[in-house]
Amino acid sequence: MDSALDDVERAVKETFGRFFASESGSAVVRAAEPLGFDRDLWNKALDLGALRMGLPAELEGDDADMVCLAIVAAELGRTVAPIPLIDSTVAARSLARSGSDEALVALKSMLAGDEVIAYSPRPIVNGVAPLVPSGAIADRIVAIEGDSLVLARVETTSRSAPNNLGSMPLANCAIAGERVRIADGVEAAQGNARTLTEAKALTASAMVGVAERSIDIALEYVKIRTAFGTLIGSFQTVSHRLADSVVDIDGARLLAFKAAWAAEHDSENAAAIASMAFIFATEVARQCSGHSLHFHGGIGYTMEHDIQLYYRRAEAWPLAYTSTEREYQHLADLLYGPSGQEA
Amino acid sequence: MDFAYQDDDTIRQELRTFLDRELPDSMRESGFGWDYDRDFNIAFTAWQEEHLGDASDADLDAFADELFWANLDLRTTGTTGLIAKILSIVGTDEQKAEYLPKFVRGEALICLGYTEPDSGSDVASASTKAVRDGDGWVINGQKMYTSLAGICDYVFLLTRTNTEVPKHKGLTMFIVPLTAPGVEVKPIETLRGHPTYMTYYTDVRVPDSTRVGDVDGGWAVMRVSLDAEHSAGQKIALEARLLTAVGWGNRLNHLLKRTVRWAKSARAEDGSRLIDDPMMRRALARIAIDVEVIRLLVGRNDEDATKPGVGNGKKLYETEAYLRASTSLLEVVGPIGLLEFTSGEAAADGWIEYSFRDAPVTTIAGGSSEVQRDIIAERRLGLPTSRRAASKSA
Repeated sequence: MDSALDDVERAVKETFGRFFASESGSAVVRAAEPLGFDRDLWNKALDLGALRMGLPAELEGDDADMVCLAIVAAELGRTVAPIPLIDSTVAARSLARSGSDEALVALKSMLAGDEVIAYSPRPIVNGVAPLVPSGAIADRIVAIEGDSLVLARVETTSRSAPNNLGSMPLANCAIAGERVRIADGVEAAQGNARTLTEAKALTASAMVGVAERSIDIALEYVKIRTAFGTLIGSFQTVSHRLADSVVDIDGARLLAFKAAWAAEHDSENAAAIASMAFIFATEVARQCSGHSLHFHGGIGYTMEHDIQLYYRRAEAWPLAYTSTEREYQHLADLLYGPSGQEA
Repeated sequence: MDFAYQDDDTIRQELRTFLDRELPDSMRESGFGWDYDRDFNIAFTAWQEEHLGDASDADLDAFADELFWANLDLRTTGTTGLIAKILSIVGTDEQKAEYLPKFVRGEALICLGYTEPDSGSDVASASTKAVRDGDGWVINGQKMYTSLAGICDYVFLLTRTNTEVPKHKGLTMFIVPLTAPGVEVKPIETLRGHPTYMTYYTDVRVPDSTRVGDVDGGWAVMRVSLDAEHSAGQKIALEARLLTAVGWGNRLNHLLKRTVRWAKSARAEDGSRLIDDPMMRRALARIAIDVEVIRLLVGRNDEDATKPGVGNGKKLYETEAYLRASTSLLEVVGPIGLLEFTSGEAAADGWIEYSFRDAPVTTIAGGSSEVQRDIIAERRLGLPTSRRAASKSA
């Protein structure tokens, strides 16, 4: 195994690390609430090639592999940037794989920023895709409907964007009639499974970024805050939780990268590893942001402090896909076969 | 980045063939690899060198797993491998000539004599005394948790040679034969059903040639970097890889395999398979995640992998995961999990019950989890530690 960043991976990390740090500060994140979408930031990210990079060269993409996309997702997570990059990336890759004319036209329109096309992890039933993670800002969605994978136009005139814990553009998406079938039958199911695997792997990576930044915020504070006449970072109840946190983050980062790698190179195990990474990185992000909030005492509970931005999203972003408790059962299905099937 | 992993059954078959032929009957039934047989150890050591010399990491994972299926382990030889590596780095030519062949061929075993009744994790506060006496030294004191002393030939002894300097600077290491006059070895029963030992040293005389490293340089010997490239022989390098292979990731993976195999046939009271129980499935899936995480923490080679405190984090994570897993499985499995491996009915061949008793010490020995967290907090996170504050004021 080789967990070292190569030159390309390092360059991607530096470029996007700088971009999100300078363009997606907490003022930007706050200003985009409650919808959780900053169109200006999205356009800048598109200009930088954030969406294009994960597409094949023949479709105007940069042929970046999933590990590079995971690196970008982690940097996005560090600033909880209010853009639908993960949902759009996996939708775009799904369209690119289908190769149909309509899909490729849609792809061009996405890359140009003319419309947002997002992935829905839940199928369209009776004409509605429920609580699509980027549903409140999507013009079209990629989702399963019946036995097909479809590209469907969202009815936007009657759409509402309910306020939610994660300040995300979460919405029920009614479909406005127009659907393009991307794939049918087994091909549709497999295509959707792969997209879900990619979404979980990249969300895991974003959670690693959330966890890292949460602990950075904690470290900055416990090294200057004194109580009972000493720095609170010298209390073992604080320092030991921080020690556990950085080790957990090491594991989550490596597992998220492995999930991204496997999504491309190990089709046999990709779904299980993505599931593991999704569960683990989510748990780590929740714990790290929770610890960090708590170390701040009362100030950590105020909306004025940035840690709440992370604490809410560590819970909400993954949950918009699925609950970790349900994901554990799904992972067991992948590892040990479906429940109730006698050998 | 690259996470490719190539599995292959050849090593498993070769090991099975060897064990069928060579494993003494006395070691077949006993379980968990604590038994020792010198002739078998010599044969097994030679087999390892022949069959595992060029093995990939995946091959060594398969070797460890197959060893566990045979209820064997490398626990009785682990300290010998570690000390052989230390000697190969810091030993004199005479010491290398005298001890290394014996250790490397499995003809002799050596254990660690670091901990004392009053110095556990704070190992540098050892007070067992070594005093110059002509050409040699006279040693007096006692050691606690001298594990494996009952089957070893030597002890790698940490002594105090200077009380006038800070505690880390007055320590010296010796290789002491456990048969030397004045050495007494007493077993102490432990939770895992296998004893550790108390060792007493009363006017034990050893020549200066048994001293390893400089006088008052014992701390440097203990902390010599085992990761560094050096001129160690191939077998010593292999020994280190083997110890990693029988580490917590593969051990936990094996516990998982045993439990899954058992849960596919075991029935709940309502007649359903235990593997179909959602609580069981959750516990197993959680352990499967920890196995992946540990393998990644062990196998990583990125630029952060060698930074201060990162290795401590690996030890912390893998042993805490083992402890967590053993407890969670026992609690999900219920009463049947209480039976020991000697009962034919025991859950997962008794591995769950045994792991519950085995795991606590792994989070204590080799630096307790609390000490690991202190080191990570101090060296990696740059936090002030209460440990340092306390020792300064003492």
